[in-house]
Amino acid sequence: MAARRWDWVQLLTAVFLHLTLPCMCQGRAEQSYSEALFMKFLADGRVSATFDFSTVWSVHPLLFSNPGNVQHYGIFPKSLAEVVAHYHVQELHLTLTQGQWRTRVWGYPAHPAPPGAELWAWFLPEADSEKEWPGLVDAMSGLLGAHLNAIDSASSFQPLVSFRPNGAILSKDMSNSSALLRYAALPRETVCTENFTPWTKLLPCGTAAGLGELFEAESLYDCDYHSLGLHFTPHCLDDGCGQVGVRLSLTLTVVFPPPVTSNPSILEWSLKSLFHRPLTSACPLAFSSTVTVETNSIDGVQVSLSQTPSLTGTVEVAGRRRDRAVFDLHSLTNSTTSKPLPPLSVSSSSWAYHIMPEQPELLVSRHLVGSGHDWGGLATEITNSAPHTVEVLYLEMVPWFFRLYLHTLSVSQATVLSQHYVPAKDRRRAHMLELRLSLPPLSTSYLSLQFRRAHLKWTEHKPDAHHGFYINSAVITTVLSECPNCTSLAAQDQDLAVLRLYSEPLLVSLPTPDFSMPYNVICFVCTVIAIAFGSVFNLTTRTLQPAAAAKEKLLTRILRRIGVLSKQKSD
Amino acid sequence: MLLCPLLILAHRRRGLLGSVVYVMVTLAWTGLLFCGSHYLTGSWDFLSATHGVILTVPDLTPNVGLFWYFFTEAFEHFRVFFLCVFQINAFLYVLPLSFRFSEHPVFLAYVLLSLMALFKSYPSVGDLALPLSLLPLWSHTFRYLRYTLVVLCMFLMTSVLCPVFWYLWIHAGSANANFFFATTLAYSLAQVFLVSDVMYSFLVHRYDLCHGLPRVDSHGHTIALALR
Repeated sequence: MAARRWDWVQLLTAVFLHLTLPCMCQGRAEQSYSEALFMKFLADGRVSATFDFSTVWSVHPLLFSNPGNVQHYGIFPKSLAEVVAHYHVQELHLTLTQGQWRTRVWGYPAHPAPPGAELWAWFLPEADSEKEWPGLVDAMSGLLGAHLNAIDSASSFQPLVSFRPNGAILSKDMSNSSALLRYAALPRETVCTENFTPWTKLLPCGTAAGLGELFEAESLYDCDYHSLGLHFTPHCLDDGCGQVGVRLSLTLTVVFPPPVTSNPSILEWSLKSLFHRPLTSACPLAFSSTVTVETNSIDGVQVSLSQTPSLTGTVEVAGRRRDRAVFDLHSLTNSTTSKPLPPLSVSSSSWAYHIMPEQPELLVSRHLVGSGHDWGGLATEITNSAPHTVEVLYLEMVPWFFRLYLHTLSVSQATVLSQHYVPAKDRRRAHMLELRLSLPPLSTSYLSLQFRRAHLKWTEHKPDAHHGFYINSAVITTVLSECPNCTSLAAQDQDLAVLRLYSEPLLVSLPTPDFSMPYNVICFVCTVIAIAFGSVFNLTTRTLQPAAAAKEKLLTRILRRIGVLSKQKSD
Repeated sequence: MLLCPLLILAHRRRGLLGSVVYVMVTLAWTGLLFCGSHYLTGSWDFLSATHGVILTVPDLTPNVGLFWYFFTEAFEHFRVFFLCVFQINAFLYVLPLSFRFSEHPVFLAYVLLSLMALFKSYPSVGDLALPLSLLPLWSHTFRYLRYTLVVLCMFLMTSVLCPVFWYLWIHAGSANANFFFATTLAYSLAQVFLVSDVMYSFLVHRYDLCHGLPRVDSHGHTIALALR
């Protein structure tokens, strides 16, 4: 009898909860997820594939901090949401990149990233960024399996103007200060499948359905450029930004080597030949799942598709026409049958490898000057091929053991409008130089700066000491009104306002001590000090006295006894 | 550190009161300079940036001293211990030498200058210039010097080899840090020999002044002197 009454109570409670819970908690806000793959031929015959998995959630970012506010995470990854909530993060950007994006030949990247790891974050207005940053770094390194723990106060920066928030700004104070911003980059970091697998786990469909099915680590890492991105930003849900939600954008940019066929002047690629995995379905959780191919003819070379796209169109990107073919995976897959999608292949007619790519307007390149391990210099070249003056922000971040001499900064062609320099403190803070430059039209500006190399303790050198130390990529940030060389995805065809270019990171070697010598050095130095001490001790504690006649040695006495030496003692 | 010989001089000239006044003036003047620096910079941070650097040796740029390679290679665990040992060693010799040469404050000052050039945290070749230039003041004791050839050769060799090995290590990249360190060791050793030799010859000269020349015993044989 008691058991039956308990069943009845359980049923009533369940019904009651199901009716009232949705009204009580905030978590059942709207979530929308879309995935997109954008592919195009680059000017030198390579194929670039940009994946963009974007989740928009209409929970206000300030509600995150209180753990009781959000009950249901839905398709938003809970691990990331908890990290963001715990460390009071407003905006988070993490990229893990292998290879350098060649802007001169490939144009501007859709998702710019420096080689290695880069992590920057804006914290919520009331957060103590000094305290939260180390915890955030540790949490992100655990989340994606990257060795971000190498980031400490000596490699974290607070750029004044270069890394403004990408998403919606939550308070007016943020426009003036950079106290809530932290930036760090690790050019030494390598990317591998250990970072890729946790990243795919953040996707709602993972690698089971949708575009995630194409992920095969071997083919993705056997390429010229590979960049994973994780971008969490507050997002305006409507035009006037009356309602603010959050947006998580997981991006992957891959550049494959030129897909040559038996006829070297014809390039042909298919999804199967590049990714080695079939694409069989669209992600059922996504409201939009598309594959977009850019079919522009480049310098007379035609690009043709093997099957009819769902829709074709021409998009106007900053004054240039781009022909796009969009394949909508939802309409192509039949949800009742599990037939795989028809294979998509793209070929070009008689590719010409000597195509001179149209140079993007802004280019940056950096190198080292000097020889020997004492003095050295950085030299940066910024090219402006536009017919008008461009104003850029230049950010240079140098570790403390390359002691910059700011008076040796020389800028030619460009005009320095303002300068912000934070000098280094040994072992605590690195050099940061931010310049606002005005680049004259059709010119190449040169910046050069000299430095001296410091000597580190033997424990501060990394395991391969003769490899050297890296200087972070310099960052050029600007706002371009028109951007003909931008690769913008169909999903975000807003004006690509902020352009960020990264230069090459530099590898500089420091003079190394001999690592096998600690004990020997201690012995030698202590010997010298002991000799000094002993001599002074003797001279101060003893007095000079006439020396008595020295007793003859035993050997001499024996020899005298035998008769070898003369009988008389010599005095 | 040079306070002691000057104190002795002041005591001889003006008596106890004079020396106390001298100490007070020195302390007051030092305090005034510190307060002036505090006023100019606005905080007491300058102490850790100036005297703190000399005491804690954070910067390990190679110089002709002993500290830089030692603290580059020393184990982190023992760093503070060795720092204390080295700094105490630098100041340790003041009192014993003051007692020994209490009647010769100028010579005491010379010896202390030499030891300062030897045991400083960040010495340079210029630090040795002052004692070397004062050395001819005691040219009358030079006949008792024992190690002139050794010291002279060591100084000559290190003057030639130090820049050579520095160039080879830093600019040519062919030599090692050990080469340069060896020359700085030889340089320090040469200084040690010079100081101890000059002190010995000074003491022998003083003995001869007290006990008369020629130094012969009852049979007419020359007596050798030994430290006992």
